[in-house]
Amino acid sequence: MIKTDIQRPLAEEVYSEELYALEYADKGNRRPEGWRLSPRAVRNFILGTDKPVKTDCKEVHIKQKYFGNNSMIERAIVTLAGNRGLMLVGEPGTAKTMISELISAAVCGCSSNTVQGTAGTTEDNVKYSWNYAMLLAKGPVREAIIPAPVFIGMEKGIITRFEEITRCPLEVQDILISIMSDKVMNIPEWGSEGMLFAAKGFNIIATANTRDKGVNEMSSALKRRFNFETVEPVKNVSLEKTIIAQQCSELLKSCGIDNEIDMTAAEVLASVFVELRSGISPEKASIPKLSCVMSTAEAVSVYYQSALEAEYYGNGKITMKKLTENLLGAVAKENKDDLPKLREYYGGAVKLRAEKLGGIWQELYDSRSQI
Amino acid sequence: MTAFEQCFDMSSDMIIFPVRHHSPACSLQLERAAELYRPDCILIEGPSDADGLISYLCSEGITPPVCIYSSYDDKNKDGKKFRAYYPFLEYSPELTAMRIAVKMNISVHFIDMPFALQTVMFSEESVTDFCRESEDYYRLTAEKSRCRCFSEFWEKGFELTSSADTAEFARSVFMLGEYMRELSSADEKTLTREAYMRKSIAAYKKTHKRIMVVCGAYHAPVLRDKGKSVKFSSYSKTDSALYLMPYSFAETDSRSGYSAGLLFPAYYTEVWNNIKSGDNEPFLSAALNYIVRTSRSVRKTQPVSLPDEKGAFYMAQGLAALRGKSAPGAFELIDGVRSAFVKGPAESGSVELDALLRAMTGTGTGKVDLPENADIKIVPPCVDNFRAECRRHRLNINTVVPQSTVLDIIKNKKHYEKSAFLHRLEFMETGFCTVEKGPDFSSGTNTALVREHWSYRYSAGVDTKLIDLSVFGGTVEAICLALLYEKLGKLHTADKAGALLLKGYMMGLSDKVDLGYSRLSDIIGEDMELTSHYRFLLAINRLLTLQRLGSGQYSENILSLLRLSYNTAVTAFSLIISRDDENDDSAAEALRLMYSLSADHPEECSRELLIAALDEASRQPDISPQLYGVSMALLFKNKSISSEEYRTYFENYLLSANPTAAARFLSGIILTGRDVILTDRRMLISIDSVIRRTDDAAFMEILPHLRQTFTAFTPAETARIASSAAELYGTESSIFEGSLIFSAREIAAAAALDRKSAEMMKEWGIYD
Repeated sequence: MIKTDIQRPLAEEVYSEELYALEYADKGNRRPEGWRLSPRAVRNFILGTDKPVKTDCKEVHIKQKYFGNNSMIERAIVTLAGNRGLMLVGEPGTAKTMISELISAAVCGCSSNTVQGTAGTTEDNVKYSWNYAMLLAKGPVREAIIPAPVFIGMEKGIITRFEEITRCPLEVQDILISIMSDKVMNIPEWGSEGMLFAAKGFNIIATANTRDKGVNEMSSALKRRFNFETVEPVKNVSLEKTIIAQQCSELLKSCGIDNEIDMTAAEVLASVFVELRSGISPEKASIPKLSCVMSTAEAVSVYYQSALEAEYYGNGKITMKKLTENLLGAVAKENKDDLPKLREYYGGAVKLRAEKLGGIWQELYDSRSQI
Repeated sequence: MTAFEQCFDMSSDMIIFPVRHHSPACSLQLERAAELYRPDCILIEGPSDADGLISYLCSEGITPPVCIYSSYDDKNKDGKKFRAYYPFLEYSPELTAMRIAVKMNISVHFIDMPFALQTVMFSEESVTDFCRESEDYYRLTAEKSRCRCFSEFWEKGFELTSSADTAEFARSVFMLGEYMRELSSADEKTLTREAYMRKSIAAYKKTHKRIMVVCGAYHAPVLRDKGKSVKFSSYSKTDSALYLMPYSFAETDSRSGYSAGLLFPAYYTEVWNNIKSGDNEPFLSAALNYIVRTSRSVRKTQPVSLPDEKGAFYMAQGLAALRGKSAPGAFELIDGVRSAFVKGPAESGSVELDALLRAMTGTGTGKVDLPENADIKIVPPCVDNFRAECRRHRLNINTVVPQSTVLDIIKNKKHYEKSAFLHRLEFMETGFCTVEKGPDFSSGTNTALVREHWSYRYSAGVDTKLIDLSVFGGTVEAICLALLYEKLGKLHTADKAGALLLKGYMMGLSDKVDLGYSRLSDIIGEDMELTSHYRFLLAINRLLTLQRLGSGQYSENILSLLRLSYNTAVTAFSLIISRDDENDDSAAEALRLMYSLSADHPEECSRELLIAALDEASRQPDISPQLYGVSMALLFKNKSISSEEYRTYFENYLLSANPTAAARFLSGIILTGRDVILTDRRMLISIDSVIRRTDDAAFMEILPHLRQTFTAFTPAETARIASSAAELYGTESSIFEGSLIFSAREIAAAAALDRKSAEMMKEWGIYD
């Protein structure tokens, strides 16, 4: 049952019906020890199925949740079924976290066992710390331990998600080396038997942002414990449009707004983002390269903001003026030098499109004064 | 009966076995089908005029990849050359069909239109639309099957299921072709080719009872039809040629642009060899081998651990299971290596993937070694000669990976010979080699270098070029000589003849130039341009230097050419003495060179002749100032005039001529006799007096000439002149040395002065 009063429910709650159906249909299929679903069912959960999956009482449509490189998802699943961790790297906003959440939800039914890597992350945040009152009262017993996500993952045999691992100091990152190779955590306070052996099903999915490359470069020892998968930005307008439409639909619903997605506006927005990201337009117009990250997540945010503004301050219909205003915010937040480039894009590629197609593109071109 | 059942009816007098070109699975199934059907004749989709090559293609001396190279010189299209390659890999169904026929001792023939006939009947552009449509078909098929590309779909559906029932396999391939035919209409060329194949089949049906046709799946549905009759054109058989030559793995990979090819030919060759050696898991073994090979290659630059290799192998197998494949194929292998080896963002140029993909494509080439007693010549002798020479010079042509070699062309005779061979191939424009670094005697650059750095790379294109040039001779040397003479025949100027002569020397053909001697003499004798002779003499001079450094002896013919060019140049000089082209100093340079040659080669280059011409020229009233300067300097150097006379002429000319003419005169003097300026102080005083009497405007006019003239001096010489000039004015020469350094204060003061001047000028109304 999904709690309706929370902003963002967990993946396993949002897709509980799909997970149940897949688990039901997956009976008898071989699955890695400690996994809730077989690798094929995990893949189907993320990439969707053509036909609905039957359960004891109904048919459930498994929708596609990740749009992009299917082989990468397959490699990620097989990696986790083996003894290596999975490292998802890529530009910001390319759905690394979403993939990590979905895989965790499908593999072990828990996507919340997460360490958020920051410059201030310590060993305690990763492994465990002590409840000092109990430590003093009872000594170093299990009840005195406050388990951190890696401890929990090992104990329960579930996936531990390590977000933005390269933001952590090197010494904190390297804690994982022995845990990942020996699948055991030493707890010296427990004396000679102070070892926590990882239960079947434990593994780590880490994410790292390529823009943070070099901040805390991972040691080669740790790198060897991971298989790296690069999550590429979307290069296709129709795919970007689909993602914008699907994610915004869910976001708006969670806000109680039931408006239909304006697919024309979504397509315009997708075109703008894909072109600014790739530097290529169908008209072969010169497109300046922006230094900011024109991620799909940013495109979703621009549409979402525009839709909210249209709902609360307008007639519910997204205008190109609002879209440009929000796009401006997305571009200017990292580097103000990108604004003239955006203006150049409007004066070039958008103008050509406006002359050729008119309509919404003309409206977008007319909104260039906002920049 | 369905169309397929009609085509594959084992009880009929003919079956059509549809294939995808270069598919190991099709080859394997073809062997089974032949075993089941027991044909008495096999007909193959291939150029029918290449029938004679079939027995050689099946001989032991052939190691695929090889290809039939077909060329046609269309006289109706301005002799335009048309070329086509018909490649065969170890596992190509067409080659397998030929081998089956040889093994079963039955007849085998090609039935497709000869390439020459195709070029006569159709333009090259006629297939474009068809290609686009088939690309759409491939893309949609891949999308529907949830594969990343058609190649993955094919591998999953056919290569990995080659043990399937033969009829079912053939049906699947047939249907693939039939659907493609329905979605994309065949162009006129394809329809005509199919009509030709039908005609060929009908002809063989008269003499055989059980025919097996092996053709592309696209053509299979229509080869049984009666079809419309087509009138075929004729072509000149003497203008077409067919050869058997080695091909490279890289060129048979569809990634290189060969549309009929499969991806990764070396990888599939290994799979095929595994199958043939009885390996029950040919794909698994190939995956393991390639992982090990890749790690070995990558380890040269970065670490790859054993667990990484295990991880890649595990990944490949895991992905195969997840994707419902019976074994890990090429794509699982790539995914496995990508996942386990690449530690960081997978960029397109990652070392690990590059190494794997390169190995899967293959860097090797095939071999065509036929018995000496072969009754037809499969390749022109020049190709054999090229290979033999490559072996002799240890040039690796068994790979398409770029190679390099460094040659000491002066001291090492073997290196000189190797260099000559490479120069020949470069001259023939084979695309085999390029010199990266070394002396260039034609342009006169880097002539002090003694080593040549060459890069070379073998490709089938080299053989093709050699075959095209085979009409010129049987060896690389003979072709070069013929091309050299051909070029010589078209030349009319001495400078270009000189460049060709140098090239001939670099190609090791200088002793063969005798045959072109009379032509060279004609060119030199007829060219009356001094500039052109100057360049020829430069080339001859370099050539003589090379001969001295090499054998220590001069060639008689070269010396004769030197004499002829020198004498002609002297005559040419007398014709241009009044010309004063400020942008062309080559006449002056030519005189200097001729003077120097008369010292080095007095027998060929008569000093008297030159001095007489200079003396005559110096007396002409309209002689150009620069040539006058050169003449006077050379006459003085030769002691034809005394130092007193020389100085008098010098001073008088400088004092009487206009400043520009004086500057040009000075440049002529300095070019050929600058040592006098350095040694005789009085000459310097004369120059100084000319400069002193020149007003500012005239000085600004001659300044560029003077600057250019003084560049002839070395820094040490300039310092000596500066010292003399300083002495003349009773000052220290150090004021000319180095740069003048101003302090920030001085600069600020100068800027303030400048501003003040500008303000005053504005005030006075003389500056806006």
